[in-house]
Amino acid sequence: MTLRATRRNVLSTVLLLSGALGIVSLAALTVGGVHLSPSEVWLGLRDAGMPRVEAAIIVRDIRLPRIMLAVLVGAALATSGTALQALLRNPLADPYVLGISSGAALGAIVALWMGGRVASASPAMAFAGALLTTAWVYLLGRRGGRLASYTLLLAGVITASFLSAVILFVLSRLSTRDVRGTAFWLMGDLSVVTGVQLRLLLPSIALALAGLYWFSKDLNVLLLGEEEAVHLGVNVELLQTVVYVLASMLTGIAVSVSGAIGYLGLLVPHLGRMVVGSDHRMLLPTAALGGAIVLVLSDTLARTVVAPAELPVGAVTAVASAPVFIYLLRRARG
Amino acid sequence: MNEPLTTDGRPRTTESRPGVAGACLRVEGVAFRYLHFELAPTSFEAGAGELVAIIGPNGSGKSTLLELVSGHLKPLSGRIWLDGHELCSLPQRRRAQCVGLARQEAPLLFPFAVREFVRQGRHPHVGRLFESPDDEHWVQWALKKTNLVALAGRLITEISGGEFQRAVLARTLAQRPRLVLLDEPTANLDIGYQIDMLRLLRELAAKEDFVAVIVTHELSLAAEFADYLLLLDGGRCVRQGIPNRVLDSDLLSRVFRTPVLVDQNPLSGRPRVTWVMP
Amino acid sequence: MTYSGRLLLRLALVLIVGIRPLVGRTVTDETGRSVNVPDHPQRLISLAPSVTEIVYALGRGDRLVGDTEYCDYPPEAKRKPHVGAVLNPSLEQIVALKPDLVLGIAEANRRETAEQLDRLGIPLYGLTAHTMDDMLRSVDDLGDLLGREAEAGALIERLQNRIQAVAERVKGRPRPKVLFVVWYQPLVTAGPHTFISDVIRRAGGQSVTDDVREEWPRLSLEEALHRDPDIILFPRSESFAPSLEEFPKLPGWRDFRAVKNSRLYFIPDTIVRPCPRLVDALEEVARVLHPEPAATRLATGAQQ
Repeated sequence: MTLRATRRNVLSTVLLLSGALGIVSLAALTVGGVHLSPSEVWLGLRDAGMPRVEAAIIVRDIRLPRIMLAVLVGAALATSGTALQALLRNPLADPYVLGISSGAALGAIVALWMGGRVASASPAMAFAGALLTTAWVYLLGRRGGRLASYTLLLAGVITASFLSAVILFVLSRLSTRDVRGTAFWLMGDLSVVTGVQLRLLLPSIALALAGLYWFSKDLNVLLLGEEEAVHLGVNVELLQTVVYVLASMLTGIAVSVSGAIGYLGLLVPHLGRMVVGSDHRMLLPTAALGGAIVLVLSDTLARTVVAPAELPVGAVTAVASAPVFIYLLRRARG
Repeated sequence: MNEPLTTDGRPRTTESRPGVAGACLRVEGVAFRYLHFELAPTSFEAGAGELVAIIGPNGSGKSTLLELVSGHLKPLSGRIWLDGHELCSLPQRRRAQCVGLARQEAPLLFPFAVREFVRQGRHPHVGRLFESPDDEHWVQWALKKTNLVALAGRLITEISGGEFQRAVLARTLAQRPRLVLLDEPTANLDIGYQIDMLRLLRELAAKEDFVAVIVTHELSLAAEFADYLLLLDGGRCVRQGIPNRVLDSDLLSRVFRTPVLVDQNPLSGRPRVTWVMP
Repeated sequence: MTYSGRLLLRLALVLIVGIRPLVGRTVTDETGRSVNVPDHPQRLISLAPSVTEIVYALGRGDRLVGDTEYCDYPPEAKRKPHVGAVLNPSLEQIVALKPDLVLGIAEANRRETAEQLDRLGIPLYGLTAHTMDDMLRSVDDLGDLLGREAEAGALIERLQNRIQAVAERVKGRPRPKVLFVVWYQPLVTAGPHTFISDVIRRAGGQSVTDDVREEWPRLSLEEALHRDPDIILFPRSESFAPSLEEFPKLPGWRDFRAVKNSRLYFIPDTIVRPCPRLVDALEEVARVLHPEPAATRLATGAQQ
């Protein structure tokens, strides 16, 4: 189905999905390892007195930041995946195909290796890793002074492989306890977020999303082909650079705080296309909100299925993706 | 056929509609060089309503010339004027508003509806994000002219090769350009569709006052429909003019390195090209 | 000063400092972190099985309001509310149990858990154990924290006596080379700076990994073969699949001299827990490495 991208349709879709996101998030607040009734949750949310009631601590200090992180990271990864699929004109692209998650993972693991104060700053190190990888792949992927989607993809894949090998090497040098700690991060972990991080995350992700949306119409044209886009008046060089940088930043930010949560950036764009079509003016906001909803749901499952223990959220997205993939495959064949 | 002729034998189309400012294309001495290939300076002119065909064997530089004429590829020397504007110095978006260039395209992997595909043609005209009713009007017009209204809601990935080429033409038309450049628009089409497309192109060029330049392999079609031909060989334009002047047996046999017979189509009076089996 | 004088002074101090729900003091835990612990913790949560054991050994098991799924000794510990696994305990469960002190182990718990508990204002006291002396010091520190200094002192003395007895018994004897297998596929052993190696040392043996730097080194089978241990020890736990009869048949393993001589032994898995029962393991290892001279030498078959 394709929904024509008019101002009204876009706005309606955004409102509808935002409403759904709100409902899902509120439901997620009431669910968790510790059973809290909705009234306790409500009291906990409003509670401002000291000492804090346990419900307030659980709801405001543990669940709420986590859900907010899930919303931001889900939106970031899904949007990045959509943008990269357009940039590379490849429906199999995901936010990690250009090696950024490997760079971030390496940054975090090196921080752990160095231990001490540096270890606590692992999100910053991860982001540094992501930045360096973005720049490196950009330089490697240029051809004739321009980004060509084919060479960019190659550069990214090669870099990702190389970095993965380095990561394995560093992992083998870590103590067992650190390795186990890293495992959570490598599979996605939304449980570790500070207020400071959230305050940095919200504006930067929002800006990047807005920036990508500004170019959504150009992305549509880019899908026709690089040359065709030029012939239709698109500044392809500028577009490719901007989209590459913004998508990489979204991925880098998301991965730095929550590890590499897989399949979200690959699947949500496809689901979005199934519902609203390939026009990015509709697809980008749909993917962003859809990604947020999916990740909040996945994280809620991760927190509750084997409570009090927790599954890594990346495991939940992986398992949940399999049936969706199969369904998509069968639809494509039939 | 009773229209007054210009000095090079072409019918004077622009003057047959007084008061209408037709498009006017002037190509002057454009040349280019790739690593191992060189296009010698080439010049020609065309007016609104005219269909120019660039013919020649593979590797003769046809597609290069077409892209040079669009202004998107900067020539090593020479200039191109469209309606008095120098195409190469126009900003890219402005150029896309008056020049429509369509080449062989790989089929899309993403599910766009045919209507959305055609709508892309309005991109050079649309504001930052959303189309105006005017844009939609032209999209609908382009779909009607290319007989694609029934398919407008279908996915671009689900239509046949021929329909896809019609969609590409529709997209180019939706741009409302003054200069329409098509590279092998009839490739992969059935002969019936080939004729339909070229006839449509001619009609539209006349009605909408644009210049059409195509690159084609189909010598007979070019002979039938084109007002003006450029024959290229090895990067040089060896002859240009009306079909009668360009389609000469000896010349064609030399250029295509195989015996060719040119006679007259009894129905239309245009030259007819026949390949001779040795 | 009279008793009532002291009481008045205390009251005055309390009023001056202000009435706070928890009167605490700041201590440095065994990992070097500065922690504000309550004077009389009433609600404890343990994040590691060894810590649970020490708490019970000090007689404060009744104050334990939560522990991990793996806390199985003493048996009462299994009935306590669980907060999850050692590595990734559920913060929500911890908070819901309203602890005033959480006890953890640096080697086993995640750094992030510590940081999160910090942010929530829940004190986490971290213990470490690289040697048997560390374990004894942990008993002492916990005794201080929990107001059981006397019991801790007595326990430490009893344990030290037993340790000393073992040391006397094995003094002067030649030290057999010992390979301690934490896991066999890949082969993971205990490095020299672990309490396990300390146990082996005090039991009169010498770990073949004494020259390795890592804490839990992964050796290739060749390397282990090259070091030619006299005795191979395994922790006895359900997850250790091949029984001792199977091992000699496994490729690579059958070439060990120790395997050919059937000098393979299971050790109670208290050896991997730095708690008072570690001394039990010490005694068992000493018996294995240096069987009692007086009693008939136990059959040198596989012992279980």
